Amino acid sequence: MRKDVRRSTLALSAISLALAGCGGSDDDVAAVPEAAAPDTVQKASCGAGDKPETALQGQVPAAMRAAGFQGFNCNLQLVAQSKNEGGSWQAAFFEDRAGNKCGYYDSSSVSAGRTKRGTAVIDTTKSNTADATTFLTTTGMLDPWESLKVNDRRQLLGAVNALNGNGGPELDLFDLSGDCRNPQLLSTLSVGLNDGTNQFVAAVRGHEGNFSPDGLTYYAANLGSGYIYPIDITNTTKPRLLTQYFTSPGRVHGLNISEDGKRAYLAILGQGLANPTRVAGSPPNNGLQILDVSQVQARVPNPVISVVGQVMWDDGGGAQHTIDVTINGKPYIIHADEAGSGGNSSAGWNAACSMNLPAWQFSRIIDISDETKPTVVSKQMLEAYDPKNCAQVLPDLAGLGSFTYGAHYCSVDNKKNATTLACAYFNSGIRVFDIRNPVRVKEIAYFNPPGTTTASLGSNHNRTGGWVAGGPDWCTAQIKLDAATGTLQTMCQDNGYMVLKFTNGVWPFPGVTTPPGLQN
Amino acid sequence: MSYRITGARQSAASAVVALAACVLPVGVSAASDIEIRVGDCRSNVDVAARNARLSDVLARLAKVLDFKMRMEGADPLINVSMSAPASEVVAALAAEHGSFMIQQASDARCPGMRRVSMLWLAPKATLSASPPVAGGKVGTSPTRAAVVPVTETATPERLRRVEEDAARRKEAYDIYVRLNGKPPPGEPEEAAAP
Repeated sequence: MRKDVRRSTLALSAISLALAGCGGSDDDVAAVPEAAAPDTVQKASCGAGDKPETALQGQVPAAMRAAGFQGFNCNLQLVAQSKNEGGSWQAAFFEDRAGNKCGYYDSSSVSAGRTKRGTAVIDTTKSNTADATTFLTTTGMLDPWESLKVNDRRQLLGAVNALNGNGGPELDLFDLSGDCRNPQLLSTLSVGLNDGTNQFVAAVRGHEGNFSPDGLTYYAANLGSGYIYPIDITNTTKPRLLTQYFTSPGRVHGLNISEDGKRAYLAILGQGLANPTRVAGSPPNNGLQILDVSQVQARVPNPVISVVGQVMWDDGGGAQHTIDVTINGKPYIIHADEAGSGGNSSAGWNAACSMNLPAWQFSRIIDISDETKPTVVSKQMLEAYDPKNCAQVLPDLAGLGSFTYGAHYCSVDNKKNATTLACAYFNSGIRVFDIRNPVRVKEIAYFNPPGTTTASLGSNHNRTGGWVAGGPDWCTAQIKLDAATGTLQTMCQDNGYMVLKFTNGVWPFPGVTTPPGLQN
Repeated sequence: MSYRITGARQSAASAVVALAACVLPVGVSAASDIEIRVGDCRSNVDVAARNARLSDVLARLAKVLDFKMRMEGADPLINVSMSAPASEVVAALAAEHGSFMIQQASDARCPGMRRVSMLWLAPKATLSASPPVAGGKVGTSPTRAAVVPVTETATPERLRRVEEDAARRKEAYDIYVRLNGKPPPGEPEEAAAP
């Protein structure tokens, strides 16, 4: 029997590229079997004048894509938009002391045919307008990927150079205190290089990142090799690398830092059970990991970082990010994946479906009352992502690869007293949930913008297997909920920056506040 | 690179092989019916075997290439003569079994290169099976046997292993940077490729 060499090459193209380790044995984990098909989140009830979904919750049927998707909305209406040349993965928000409200979103590294590259600055001071005031084009801001963040306490906009998800080693910091519509550059400097000062030296690359709440540390994260690299930004003109910590069992993606700066909540990217690259029989490697970073916070020389607890799961992959919240006085982590159990490919979706596992990803709420034993209490799976609906949903994705359905980033109304969760989904739009009961989460609104008919050159959706004319957008960024105006703001990659207003009295809930800096 | 594998498909009773080897000799590993030749980092691996059990050939490769292996299910007799990069040799042989998964890791001995770190060959029954997906028009893969996903909260012992593995990853990274003067390219974000 003669074989074609390409066969083995193709097989290898799907191989997991974990740096080391083959997974532990099964006897050192506390395994909790779960139902193969967890319940979906309760659907929103729409009002008059809405254009509700016509099929499953979260679904854009194939016929609608082919005809040119016109969008869905339920208890959310578009009031302002700034499309520009399209967006990348992330958005951030700030209100300065003069009352100016600003949004920031990044765009892809593609330069051909573009005139507005870099990070867009959007003036949303009037809640019914959204106008770009400038574009930041320093090294890091040209393609910050998912690292674009704001720290309210120190009034900083920051990002690392994350060119195509793996650039660097620059960190850019801007001052927002004067006028958030015109950020002032503080520094754009390399970190971790040997500068002759005998300080810690490491070669770093960027992808994701986040400020500590006190704004004195920027925790950059590299997904490519799987490490965090906290940077001391006490002196914003002289950022200093503090250490470099590698993660296991998967690679770090996004992270959040506790209010006291002593804990880091990491999204550890791994493979779901149906992923062709997952070593069968190996324990779950995708989920939440809690690190003790108190020595970083205390600026102990050569700080030691240790693992406090972790929870990993099989029915999702590509862990994306975390938010530490308090709900009804109890501490939780909200965690979103960016891949289903089979990964982001046609083969992966089919593998997941054939194993009765979710092919597309969602957020979950994790109880961290005992931080050594984090426990998942609920999953916000949409109806379209329920494996029992695979046959109805898979035809929607003919000809697509990469990301399709599934969540990416989420935000809350108030980390210190969270009642509302808003998440961006690639093909399922912006969706808002009532999480006052974190075990029984209810959807209250959604907005899935229309498909565009011309490609947006600055959108990462514009890739092979991604954008098609008339297909649904990729909504991928964090979201600013604003109780005072009853609006939310976010960015979808083709439609750009959008301001959406809640209707039919569904939000804000009574007593809800959205303090600055407490949404992510 | 070239290779040729023939298999009589004379499956023996189910075999279970689990081993871990920790050395990477450079040279020839010969037996009466299996010959494996491994060169330097950029050389092909040469494998020749006649009427050999697949498990025996793979076990020999696991030893010389330093990867862990678990094999369950049929163990056919094969004839093979091939020369290819190590990972392709392993994949090609594993394909003889039908259902397999491979994990790779950085190769500390060959900076910037990858090595096979684990091979798992599953009984066919576990990766193909029965009833089609409901509605079944679009499923391009067969429905697999039902699985029960788990969520695992780590024990202190698991956390200790996690930290040990994290330290090893840093060590491998630092070695690469020292040798190459720049960071390794890193793994792609899975979804980067359609």
